[in-house]
Amino acid sequence: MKTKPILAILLLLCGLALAGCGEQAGDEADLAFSLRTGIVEGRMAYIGVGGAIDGQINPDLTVQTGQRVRIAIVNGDGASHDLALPDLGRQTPPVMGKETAAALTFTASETGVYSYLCTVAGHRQAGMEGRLVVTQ
Amino acid sequence: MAFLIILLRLIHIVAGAFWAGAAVAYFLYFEPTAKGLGPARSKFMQDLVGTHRYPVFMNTSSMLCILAGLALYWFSSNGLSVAWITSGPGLGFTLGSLAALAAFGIGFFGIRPRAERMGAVGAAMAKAGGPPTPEQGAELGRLEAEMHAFERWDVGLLVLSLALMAISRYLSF
Ligand code: HEM
Ligand SMILES: [Cu+2]
Repeated sequence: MKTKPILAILLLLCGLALAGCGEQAGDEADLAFSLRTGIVEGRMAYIGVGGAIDGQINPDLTVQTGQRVRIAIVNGDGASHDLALPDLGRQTPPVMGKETAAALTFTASETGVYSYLCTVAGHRQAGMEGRLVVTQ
Repeated sequence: MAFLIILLRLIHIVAGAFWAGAAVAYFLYFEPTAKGLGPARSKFMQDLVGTHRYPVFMNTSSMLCILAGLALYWFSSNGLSVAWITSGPGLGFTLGSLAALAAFGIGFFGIRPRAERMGAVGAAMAKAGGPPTPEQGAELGRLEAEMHAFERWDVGLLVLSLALMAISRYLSF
C-alpha cells in the first residue's frame, strides 16, 4: 500500500497541533477577574469567582482605561470552552477537562462596552456572553 | 486540553472527507465505469472488494469520522445541553450527525453486504471460467439495482451532512 506519504503528512499535522498549544505566559496585571464555566438553569454561562462579581452569571467586567487587566477562566463543566474579546482581538486558548484554566491579559485603551464570549460553535447562543465595560 | 480538540477535528474531518469523497467518487465515476465493462464488471467488483479491500477503507474511515464526531459533539454540546442543541450551530451539527449516522446504516447494512455478494459471485464465475449462468446474471442485475438505490440515499445524506458540518458554526441564532 502506498499510504506512507499520507501517514507522514497526518503525523506532521499532529506535531503542528501539539506545537501550537503552548500556554500563554501570564504577565503582571492591575486588575484580575476569574470566571468559571458552568450550566445555570439549562443555559451555558460564565460564573464570577471572587471579588465583586462572585456568583454572578456572565458578570459585567468593569475596568478603567490604562489598566492592565487579566481575565482567567476555569473549566467547571468538562466541555470545551474559551473566552474571547473579539473587538480587542484577544482570545484565551481553549480549556477542556474540568479545572483546566487559561487566561488573557490586555490593556484597556478606549472607553466603551465590549462583549466577551465563548467561541466554541453555539456556546455564545447557548448563553456564554457578557460585557466588558471600559470607563475613564 | 487544546491538543485533544485539534486531534479530534483532524481525525473527524480527514476521515469524513475520505468517507464522503469515496462514496461520491464511487457513485459518480467508478460505478458507471464498471457498468461499461460488461461481463468484466464482476471481476472489477471482486478486485475492488477482495484484493483492494474497499469495504475495509469505508468501514474504517466512517467509524473514525463517527467516533471523533461523537466526541466533538459531546465536548461542544456540554453533555447534550438543550440550550446548545437548540442553538443554530447545535441544530446544524445535530442534523448533520443524524444524516451521517443514517448514511452509515445504509452503507453498512444495505450496500456492503451486496457489494460483498457481488464479489463472491464474481469469484465463483472466475472459478467456473465461463460466462455467468442465467441465475448468476439475474442475481448480479438485482444486486446492482438494489445497490444503486441505496447509494443514492447514502450519497445524498453524506453530502447533506458535509454541507451542514461546513456551515453550522456560522448559523447565528
Ligand atoms: C456521526 C457523525 C458525525 C458527527 C457526530 C459529527 C459532529 C461534528 C461536530 C460536533 C463538529 C463541530 C466540531 C467543533 O466545531 O468543535 C463537526 C465538525 C465538522 N464535521 Fe462532523 N460529524 C459527523 C459526521 C461528519 C461527516 C460524515 C462529515 C463529512 C462528510 C463531517 C464533516 C465535518 C466538518 C468539515 C467539520 C468542521 C466544521 C467547522 O469548521 O466547524 N462530519 N462534526
Ligand atoms: Cu463555551
